[in-house]
Amino acid sequence: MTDVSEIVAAVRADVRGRLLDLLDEVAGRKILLLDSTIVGPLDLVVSPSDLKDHGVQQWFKLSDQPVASDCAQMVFLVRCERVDLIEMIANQILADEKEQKDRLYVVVFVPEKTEQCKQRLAQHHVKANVRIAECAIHHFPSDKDVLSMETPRMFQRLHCENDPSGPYYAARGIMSLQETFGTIPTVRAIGLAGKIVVDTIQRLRKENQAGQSKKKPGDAANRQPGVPPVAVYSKGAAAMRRKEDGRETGIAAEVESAGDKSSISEMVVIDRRVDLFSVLCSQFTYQALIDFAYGIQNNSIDISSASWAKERSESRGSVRLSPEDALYQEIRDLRIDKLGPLLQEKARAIQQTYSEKDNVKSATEMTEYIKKFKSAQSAHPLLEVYINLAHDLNEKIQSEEYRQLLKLEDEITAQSTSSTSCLETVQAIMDDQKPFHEALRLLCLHSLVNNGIKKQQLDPLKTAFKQSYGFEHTLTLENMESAGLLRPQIGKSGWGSIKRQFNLFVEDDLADRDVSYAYSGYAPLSVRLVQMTRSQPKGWIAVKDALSLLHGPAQELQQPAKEPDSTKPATVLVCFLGGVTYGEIAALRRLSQLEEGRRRFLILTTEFINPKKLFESMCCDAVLNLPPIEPPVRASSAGVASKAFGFWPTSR
Amino acid sequence: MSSDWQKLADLWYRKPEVYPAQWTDDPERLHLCVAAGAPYGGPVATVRNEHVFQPVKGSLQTHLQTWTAAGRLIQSAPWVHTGLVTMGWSAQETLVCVFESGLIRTFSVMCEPLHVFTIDERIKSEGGATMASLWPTGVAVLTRKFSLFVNTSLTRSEDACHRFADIRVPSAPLCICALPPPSEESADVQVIVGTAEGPVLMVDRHSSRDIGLTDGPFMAFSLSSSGRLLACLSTKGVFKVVAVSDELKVLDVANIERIKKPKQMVWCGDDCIALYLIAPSDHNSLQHILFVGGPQNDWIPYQYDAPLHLVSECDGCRVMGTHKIEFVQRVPHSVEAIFSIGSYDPPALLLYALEQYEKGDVCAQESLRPIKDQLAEAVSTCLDAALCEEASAFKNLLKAASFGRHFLTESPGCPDRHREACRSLRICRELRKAPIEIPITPAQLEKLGIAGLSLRLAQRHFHLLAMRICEWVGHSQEKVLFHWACEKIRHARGSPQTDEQLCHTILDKFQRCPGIGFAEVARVAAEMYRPHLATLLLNHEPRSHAQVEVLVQLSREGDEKDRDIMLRLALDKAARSWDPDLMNSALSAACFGDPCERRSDIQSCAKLIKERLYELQVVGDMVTRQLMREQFDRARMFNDLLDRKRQAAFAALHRVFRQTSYDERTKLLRFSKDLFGMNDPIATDAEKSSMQFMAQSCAEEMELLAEQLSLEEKATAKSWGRGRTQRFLGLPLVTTLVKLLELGEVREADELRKTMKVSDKRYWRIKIRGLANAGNFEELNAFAIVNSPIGYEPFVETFLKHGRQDFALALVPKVKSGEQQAQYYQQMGLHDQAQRARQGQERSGAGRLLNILGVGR
Repeated sequence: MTDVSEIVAAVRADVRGRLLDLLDEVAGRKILLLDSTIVGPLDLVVSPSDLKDHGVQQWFKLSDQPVASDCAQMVFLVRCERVDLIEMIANQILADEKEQKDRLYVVVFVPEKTEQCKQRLAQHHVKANVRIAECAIHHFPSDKDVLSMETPRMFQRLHCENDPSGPYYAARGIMSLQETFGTIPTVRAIGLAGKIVVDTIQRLRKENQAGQSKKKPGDAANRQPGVPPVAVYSKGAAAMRRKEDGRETGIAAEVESAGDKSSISEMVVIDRRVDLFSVLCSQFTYQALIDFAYGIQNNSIDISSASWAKERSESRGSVRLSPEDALYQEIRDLRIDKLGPLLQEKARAIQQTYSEKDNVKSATEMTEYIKKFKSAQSAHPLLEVYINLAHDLNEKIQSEEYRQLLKLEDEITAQSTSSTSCLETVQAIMDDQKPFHEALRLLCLHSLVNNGIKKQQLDPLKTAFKQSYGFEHTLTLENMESAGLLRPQIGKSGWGSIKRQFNLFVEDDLADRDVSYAYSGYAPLSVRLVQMTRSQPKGWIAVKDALSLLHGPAQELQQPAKEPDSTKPATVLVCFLGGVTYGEIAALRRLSQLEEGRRRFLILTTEFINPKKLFESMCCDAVLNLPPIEPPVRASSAGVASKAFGFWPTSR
Repeated sequence: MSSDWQKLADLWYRKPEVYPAQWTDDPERLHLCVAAGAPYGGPVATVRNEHVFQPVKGSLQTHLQTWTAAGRLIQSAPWVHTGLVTMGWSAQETLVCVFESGLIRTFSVMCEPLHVFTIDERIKSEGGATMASLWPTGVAVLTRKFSLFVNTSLTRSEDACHRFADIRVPSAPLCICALPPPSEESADVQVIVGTAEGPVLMVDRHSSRDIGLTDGPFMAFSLSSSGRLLACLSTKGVFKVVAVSDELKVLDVANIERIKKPKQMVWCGDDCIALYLIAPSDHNSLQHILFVGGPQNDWIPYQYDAPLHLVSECDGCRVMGTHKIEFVQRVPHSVEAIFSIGSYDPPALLLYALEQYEKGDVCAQESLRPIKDQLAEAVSTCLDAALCEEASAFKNLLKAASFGRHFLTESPGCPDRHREACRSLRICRELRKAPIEIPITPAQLEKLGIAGLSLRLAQRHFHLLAMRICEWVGHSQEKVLFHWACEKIRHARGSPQTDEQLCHTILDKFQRCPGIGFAEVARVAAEMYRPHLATLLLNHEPRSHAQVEVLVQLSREGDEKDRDIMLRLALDKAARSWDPDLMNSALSAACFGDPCERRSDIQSCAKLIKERLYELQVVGDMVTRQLMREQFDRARMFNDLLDRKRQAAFAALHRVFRQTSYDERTKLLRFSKDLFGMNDPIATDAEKSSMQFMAQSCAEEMELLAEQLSLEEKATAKSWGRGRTQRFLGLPLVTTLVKLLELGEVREADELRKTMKVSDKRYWRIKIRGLANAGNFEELNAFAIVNSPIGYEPFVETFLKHGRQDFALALVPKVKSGEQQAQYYQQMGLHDQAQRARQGQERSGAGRLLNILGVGR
């Protein structure tokens, strides 16, 4: 019952139910227009045929361009945080009004409708028949043990813009998990985002207690006629459908019957800012390297630009790295150097299966063989992709250039070389105008390790960065400074003690078994933090001094809840606010094995992150790609004045 | 007892008197007034009927009056409104008045105005409303231009209002009747329209269709209280009953000779129809006739000499006469079984046995022997009958039931039923007494529920009784207490109690009921202009949403000083909650609108935030963020007001990027540079140094732009790059340098580098790249002659990359590290030289990360 994958499956069934219920409430054919941050992960919960079955004729990403269609109904699904999208909705409706199309519009806000959204919609004076609804979707199941909120840029918004809505909605999501899976007895949190989450869940719990039966004031009055209130619990129609779904029946029913018993025994909330090292350091698991080289988006990668993919006859541009695929599950967390032999063996096995056909004699053997052949055949195309990917990654990391970067990274983390020479190399990368995140990764790693960079070194580097990548990137630098990624040196570096206290670097021969295997010798700080809640006799309290070396406050909170079943493995919810790396996920899975399965980890994240995404989020998108500067019109262009009279001879 | 029963078709009916009427002072009242009676034994409201000639008696002032079910005045209030179309009671027992103008006014039972709203402005423009049909949670209105509007709420319109499909008829329909939606607030309403032409239409939002009811036109409809049956009366006296849920199938047809439109046509439960007709009699007076009947065309006529008012109930119909109040009811089966003349049914025998027993007959139980098998049923029937009977009878019936139970070995559920019956009866008996005078029956009570009942009692200001009933049956007292607190505050205007005392009184009572909404009570306090009391109450409210909402409301109502206090409190509570939506609500209130709207007042908002800059920083940043989407100048101003010079400067800087004209951009850059040069008192050292850097960057950018502009002019003048327009403006410095080198303008590049003070080391790398990109290897080789500040590796690597071994080979010996030299030789395929270079060199150990590449192993 406490199994992590069952919790994830229940969440998936719930989200799916809510979504489809929502579509059913709008009877008839409809168009679905989606928030760009929902389109991608939607795949993880519903299939296109599901949408078709529930009357969705077409679905698009919501954009500036109005969609023309003759469907009588249009459903918008947008996040309430993205207020700017409301303008697009209004544009769509106004465009329809102009063409005198009469439709019913349903604007669904995820996870809840806010006053601001309603106000903004009202400001646009759309007269048509617009209903406002909400749909409490908080999480998307990205993997069997990973729930993702798919809210990118939370780190930047919290730490650069001081916008607490990311952690706030994360807390709301956690509340919804607690509603289904029981109150989590122990909560530990670190960093600003962690504090916001703890504050919020405490406040919400008090409010819930105070007014068990109460709704938000004005809730009933604001309800839209025609739309029954959106189901709060996963009962009713959604549950009915789940029963039809068969496979999910058992799980959903079981988890529901769990009621107030806590399925999750512990929660650790980690603000990304506490552990930026794990984002900036290189990771070597298969999945992490694929993400590094191709960028995994909603469990898919785009391989259309890869040279080996071009040679293949089939021209599909993307490959789905499904967590359902057994082979991928087996290899994704392997370190790249362990991968080669395994893949070779698999390939050989398939080869052998193919060649066995010559030995088949009797009919029974034949049926046996066909079975084997079929499974081998189905594994074949994916295996080919995996092998190609592995080759490609190997090539990438064996290159001289990559090797140089690794060497530098090693020197920085080990503080073995003088910072002047490290920074010189970083400057060389900038001067060569390599992709900016490569330079920034090492620069920020250096700044983090040494508690900043001396002002007389920092300013020239910033100047060099600005001169190489453009003046608009001064804003990127500013953001990085607000987020603590880069700063002038103040005081002594705490890196030495952090390294020691958390045992971040592990000797070679031990590293292969420890959680540090994914980073080849570096144990992710975040995972060490999770490990300590068990390895230390009193949890975090025992390591108070060590925690005070990290950024932001650390908190521990006990919530009144029924004690979870101690005979079963405990489920620990690990929340990464600001994103999680694939290396950290692999390390957590390894940690569970090291603890002999006594704890299982359910990972909750706002997004998947890597250095490239991190630094792209630091850029101020609005100022990039603006039109070029126009030179001033000089008065000397005398011709203009005389040309004003078109009929006059120009020779004059 | 059964002697006054009357038979209708094959069922018995009775019409017992409930109260003698107390409103006999004006026998014509019900004739001169529009009256509306509330179900569940509720009150009757009367107001002067504008369409009836009014004889002047004393004062000319008109009043809205409410009366108890016994005709005793509850409250009266002056009435100044005209154009009343319909009056009725809502599900919460508030009086709803629909006016011709499309206006709806609601009143409490104490005649206090509650809500005023217009259903839809279009009603007025269509000549006003002519007809309206109310149901407990909504209203349907027909305008003079025959369009239908339906409002699914009785407290507001806006989104609850729907215009229904056009009915397209040439003349005014005779009557309309709304079929309520299956659930409250749902818009799934249908309206039945009886057209003057004959057909009966069923109209909803999208369409209007003929339901095919023959023998029209119909002039009156009535929906039974269960909503299942619809009675229709045609102008020719044809009477039909149709099933609403069953596709409007006709269940029964009857004929009555009267063809005048009845004054009232209401259902008695779901059983039969009560028709109230007024007919002129011989000597110039009016005759009031009540027909009860319908099924199988059987009617019982009753004659009255004074006007009536009928109130439909779920189990009968109250006849509010001028002299007495009666209740028309079908005799329930249980009662019939016991009291019908000569009944030998088991329950009747049980009652008989009890009588014998009480008379002291030792053989009383003998009479039970023949019904031994049906005893349980008889007990149950006796209980049923007790719930339908009057004082004298129900006691005996309860006794009989209890007596019968002695002889039952096992009686599942019986004690519970017995207890519940006693409970209901006790409540009903209590409510029937003066001064409450609510003649509710146990059947009605069951339908209404304790919640509904306690609300009604609270609204009649019988709070204590309501509380006691709640307590007695174990129902939550929350609503009653809440109503009490609100009324307490509303009526405290004249009292000497201070805000603190009042708050204390309320808190004292609220303690027994956790989770009660302080915010809503505070809102009432605010409405009554007691802001201090409101804030006192709010401090006890655990829900942040409710807190902020009320504070915002308070801020709108108070004077300026109060306003600032409330807004600051609201901002503070919102900031503490971390809830972005709450912060936004508080902010909108503080700015008098969305901060992004031009007319919003960010100055007073900034003033509020500045007072508690640290606590409200998150709110300040929220405003900045919203303004920074487009309104950079306002963002700058806002931060300037908060003394946050750094943020102000960044806001100004953002404007630079939006400016495409060179002149404007330089102007704005200069402006930003000045702002960055200012001293920010609240910035940290790191932030101060970043401001310095930014100021310098702005200056450099201006310089660069000027240089780039002159480069563009030179490029055009000297037609660099074979005459194609060369753009430099806005490029990064390094890109500009590389581009110049690629164009072969090495001297220009050198010049630019000098002006922009690019260090030797950096410029060498850039130059190597630029020259290599241009394929200008001769120049690059010549460049290598000069002593390189960055060593020769970049040169060698660049030559090798472009396949110029000839140039590379000469430079390898200049590379310092032997290991590196060896690698270069290796790359060129010169193994001997590589071997030689490697001699005497030690291999350095590979680091942690290189292990993975197999370097160290």
